[in-house]
Amino acid sequence: MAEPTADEPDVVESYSGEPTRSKLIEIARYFLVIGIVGFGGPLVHIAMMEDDLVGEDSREWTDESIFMEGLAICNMLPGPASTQLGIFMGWIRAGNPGAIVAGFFFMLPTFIIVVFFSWLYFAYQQVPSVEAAFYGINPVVIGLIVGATWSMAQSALAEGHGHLEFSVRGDEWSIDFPARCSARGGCRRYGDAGVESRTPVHRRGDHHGRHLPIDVDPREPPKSHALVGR
Amino acid sequence: MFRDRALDLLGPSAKATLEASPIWALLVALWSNPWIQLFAFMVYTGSFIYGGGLVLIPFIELYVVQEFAWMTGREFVDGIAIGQLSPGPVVMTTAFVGYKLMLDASGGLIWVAILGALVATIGAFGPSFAFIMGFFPYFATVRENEIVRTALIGVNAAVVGAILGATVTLAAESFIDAFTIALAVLTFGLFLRGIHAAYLILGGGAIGIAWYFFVL
Repeated sequence: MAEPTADEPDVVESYSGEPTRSKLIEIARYFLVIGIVGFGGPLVHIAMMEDDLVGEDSREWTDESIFMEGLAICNMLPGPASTQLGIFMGWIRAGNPGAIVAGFFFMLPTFIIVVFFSWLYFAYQQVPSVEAAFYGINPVVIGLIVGATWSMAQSALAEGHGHLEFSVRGDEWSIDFPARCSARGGCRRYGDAGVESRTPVHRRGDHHGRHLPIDVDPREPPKSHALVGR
Repeated sequence: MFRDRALDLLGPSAKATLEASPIWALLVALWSNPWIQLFAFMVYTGSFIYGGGLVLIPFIELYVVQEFAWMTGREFVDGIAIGQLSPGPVVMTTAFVGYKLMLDASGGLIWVAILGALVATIGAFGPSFAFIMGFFPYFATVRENEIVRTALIGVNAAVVGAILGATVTLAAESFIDAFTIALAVLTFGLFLRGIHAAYLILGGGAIGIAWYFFVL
């Protein structure tokens, strides 16, 4: 599908699917499973959804371009991107009922686990061994927050760097700074390629840490950090 | 105050009019109900956590810990640990907040506390559902807007500061001795080397128990 034109209601309507009983059951099952096994954070959830639901050799709920569009928008919206992407996939598959079913079953396992731990925590807060465990856990969480913020800061500050942008015969070109000059000759840009939402997906890891020739994306300024950065 | 700040947005004249009207009395009465307070706060939080789940931390730290005093800073940090141990998003820590508030408000009734967790979760995730189902077409257009895009780059950088600021306050409560500081620094290093948060939390618990019983 080409660039979705949001200002045309007909095209937008075609985004969301028709709800049927079997589709809703399929959505409920899938998101219940993904909600249980998805330890490893939002990136794992997003990757699983992309593997299982998008493109060939999958359930083919939608195609890459719509999935990436949805991911980009979920990253732009306030709120947890992985959950929103789940809601989005349910919506694509079976309209508003699908969205609610997807979100509900996606969150259900987490909700039960958190409530169970909350009960455990407040019921046994005063027990010495529990107190001791949280004596160790407490500073670990502080370390984790600072660590995660560190990663966020790096991607956030990277976004702020100026890009060289110009257009050649109607094509928008963009070069990421800072471009690194390696000793062995030639200017090379270090880092990941500018993965764009409407081009086919490249996993960030594919490019990460490799030296690439100056990397130009003919479509748009690179937004890979904003896309998958969290 | 959370309430005052919301009012200040409206401007002084609107504030005076509002406070004189009978609606104001009704709002005050509604606000004193802990269920409505919980739900309203969670909807507010869910609508503004831009930049990833950790942005929850400054919100909860400022309002839940400092202003409403629903829980202590240490309890909140433990709640984040619980949120990290679950498979889903960190935002589910809101369920922990709702659980604690209603546990206290009901005087220890478990089922009311669970209902509180549910209300908090619905409040916090409600905006996400509304955004996708109601406004997706709208956001598809806005995303292309150059001004919005540039503004979001700024927001991304700003939330880093907000999170760190709240973390300093929380750390002041968590760092009770040199051992806890060392543990936090160690965790920071290990996390950046790619070790998963859940293992680090479980490891921290084990070390905490060992240290507590054998050293102290």
